[in-house]
Amino acid sequence: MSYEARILRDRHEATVDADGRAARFAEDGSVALLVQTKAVALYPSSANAFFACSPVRIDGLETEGGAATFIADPTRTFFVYNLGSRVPPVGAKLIAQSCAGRWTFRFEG
Amino acid sequence: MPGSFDFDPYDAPLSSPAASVCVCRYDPTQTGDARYSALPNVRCEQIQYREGPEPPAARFAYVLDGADASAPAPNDFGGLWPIDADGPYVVRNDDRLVVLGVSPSGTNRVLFDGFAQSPRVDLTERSQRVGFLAVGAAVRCWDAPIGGRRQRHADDPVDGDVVAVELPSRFNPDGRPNCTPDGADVGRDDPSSSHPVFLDPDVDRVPDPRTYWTLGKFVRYILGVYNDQSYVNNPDFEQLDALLQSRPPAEGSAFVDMTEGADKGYSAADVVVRDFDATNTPWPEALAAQLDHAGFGLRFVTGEDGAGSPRNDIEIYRKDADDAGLIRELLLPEAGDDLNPARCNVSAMHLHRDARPIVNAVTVETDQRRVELSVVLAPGFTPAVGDETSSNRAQFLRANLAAAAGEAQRKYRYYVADEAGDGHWDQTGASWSTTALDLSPVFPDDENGGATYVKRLRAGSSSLITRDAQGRPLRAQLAVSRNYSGAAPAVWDGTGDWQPISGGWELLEDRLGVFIAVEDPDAWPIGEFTGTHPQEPSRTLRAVTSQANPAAPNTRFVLRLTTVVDDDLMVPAAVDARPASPTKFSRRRRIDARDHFGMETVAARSAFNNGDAPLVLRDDTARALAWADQLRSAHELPPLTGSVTIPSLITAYRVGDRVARINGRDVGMQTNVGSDQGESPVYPVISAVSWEFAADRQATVVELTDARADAID
Repeated sequence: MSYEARILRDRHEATVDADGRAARFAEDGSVALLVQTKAVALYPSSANAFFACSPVRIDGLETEGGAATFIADPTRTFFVYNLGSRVPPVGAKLIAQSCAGRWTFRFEG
Repeated sequence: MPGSFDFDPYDAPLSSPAASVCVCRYDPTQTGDARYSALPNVRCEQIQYREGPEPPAARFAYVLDGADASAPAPNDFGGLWPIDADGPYVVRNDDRLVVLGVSPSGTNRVLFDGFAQSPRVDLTERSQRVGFLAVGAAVRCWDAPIGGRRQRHADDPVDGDVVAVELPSRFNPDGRPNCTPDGADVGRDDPSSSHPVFLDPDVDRVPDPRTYWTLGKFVRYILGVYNDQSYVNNPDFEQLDALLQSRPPAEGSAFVDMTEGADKGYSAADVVVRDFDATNTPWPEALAAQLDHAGFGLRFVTGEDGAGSPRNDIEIYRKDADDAGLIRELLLPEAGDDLNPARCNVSAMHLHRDARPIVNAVTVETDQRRVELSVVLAPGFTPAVGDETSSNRAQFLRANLAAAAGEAQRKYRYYVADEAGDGHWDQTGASWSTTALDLSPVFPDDENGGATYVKRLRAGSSSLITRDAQGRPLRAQLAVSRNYSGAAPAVWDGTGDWQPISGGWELLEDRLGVFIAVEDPDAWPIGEFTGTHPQEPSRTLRAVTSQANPAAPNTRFVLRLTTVVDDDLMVPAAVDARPASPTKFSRRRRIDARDHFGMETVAARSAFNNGDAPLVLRDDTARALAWADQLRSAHELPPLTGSVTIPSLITAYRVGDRVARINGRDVGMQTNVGSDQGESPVYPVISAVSWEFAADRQATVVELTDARADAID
């Protein structure tokens, strides 16, 4: 095999490798989670505060009028800021959004 | 019971009757003697058989007798040469001719069977000469080149139907196997004619049904599919695979002794066909291309079928020390003796042994070995307290990077293994470090304590060597840990709990590491992990806060990248010179086979191998060594070239036969050494035989091998 062919082959392999390394670039937008508030130590008494939450998963038959069951994961705790004007009760189920670097929800009662 | 006897032939007369040579037109549609029509006005001047993809050829001349104007045969080129010339004494284009040799004892022998082509006229002021060339019946094998291929359905590689498709006849493309499984040949009930077919090279299945095309399989496929045996008969396929194996010395020996059998005198390994596209090539040339490359030969042989008709066969043979082929001797009386034809059959001889093309050591250059490993990355930037505040971290948003300076562009996004020592953030010392990654756990020193790798950049691969349950390669994986307490960067030591990250990152193009490609690195969506020991309870990772000012719950994290990198070594596929080589120097050649052979391992204590030893998932060492052995075998001896003229028609010497010695002069023709150590002798191979009948004489000219003079590549 000629020297030129070897170089061409190396270039081709490098191109293929570089293409493979390229990211599957996709912006996910705002990430959302269904969460349930809980008390880890001292539950906040004011509305505008970070609340401890656990993620919740929903189960149930997807038919009109069907009921759902909720399964919280108490082993996972993270903190979500309430943008609303009311304090959610412990165990409230809310939709949290990851916005501007922090998790948030809005609870208006 | 062994015995011996002495034979001292009586002096033969100095002359004896020549064999008569008869040219006939042959019609296979007739029966009995009606098949042959003698052509008394045609004389055969020469017949030549050559080794390789060349059909036999013969040269003929018309006997033009102008003395008898009433003779039925034309005596002028005007009655013979025009394309519309016709008659019982005119040989037309494509007429099938057979040359019969009749010995003084009356035995017929078919010397040539072929088709008339290339009529020629040489007219001078004093003479006219009309003749033509004929090419052996094997030329019909060139009529249709290879096109398309026979491929079996992928859903049933063993018993599925075989379809003739218009896909290229490319064998082992890019080093991938694309032959049907062993034992799944077409027509496997009859081993004398069974052959494998193609299989989709992209089949990705466990167990892998694909096999590599070996030389034996390749030859059986080409002959079985493309030679319909209308003119040339195939050899028995049953022994082909064994015949076309590499036969290096047995373990622990430097010599090859073919007489001891495969268990003692030599080892045997299949020779894998390298990436080869036979499309648009006549099948004899495709066959010869692969056989020549590995040091094997092919010949076309003409004889009689036992029922009075000519028969043509293709035969394949070894040219190394295999003792299965015929061995011939030449006769030359001792110097000063009286001429005795019983002890002399050489009238002229030219021999030349050329040691210059010898290659007795071969290194097969393979692809770099590839290793899947897990490496803990370090920040390729300097974290700074305060960067995590909402006002400061805005500068690290992706949309703001265009206006950012170099360091800010990398901040909180650029994690490296630092395999070349370009620099990384050392969390332990809270300082910038240029200590390169230690890869010795993956590339350990050799047995002499020497390094086996050099510190250099090694970009990772997006595909892993490890495969999933369906046999598909996994993608490179990034994982996060908050409780790993080992070094970073470092080859992962197996400690810590790790949570896979679903996306938002890409491999660095020029080095081992990752770039966090999300819009906001402080809200990096890493996927929701519900496995054991989660390292991030939410779905986002605070990549700025956790590095710049880590505090619960955003404690500092480390990233572990599992990917594949190149080793700096190749597969160890080198064979050294054997003592049987007739030169005292080691003359090595390197053969580029990077597209074909490789080795892939999963390093110990990596994400998909928690054992203490590497997992070898692909190892072409044996195949590469077999290739090296066969190339050495084909080129380690000096080609002995030359010709020997025997002053009579001798049919005992055939292309492919080996000439062992010149009796009477005690001259051995062996081209290797080491007989005392058990090395089987290698003799020059007859590469061409010509019978000449011109100028009122008969002679047989034997040409000795020149095939090994071909360049090795």
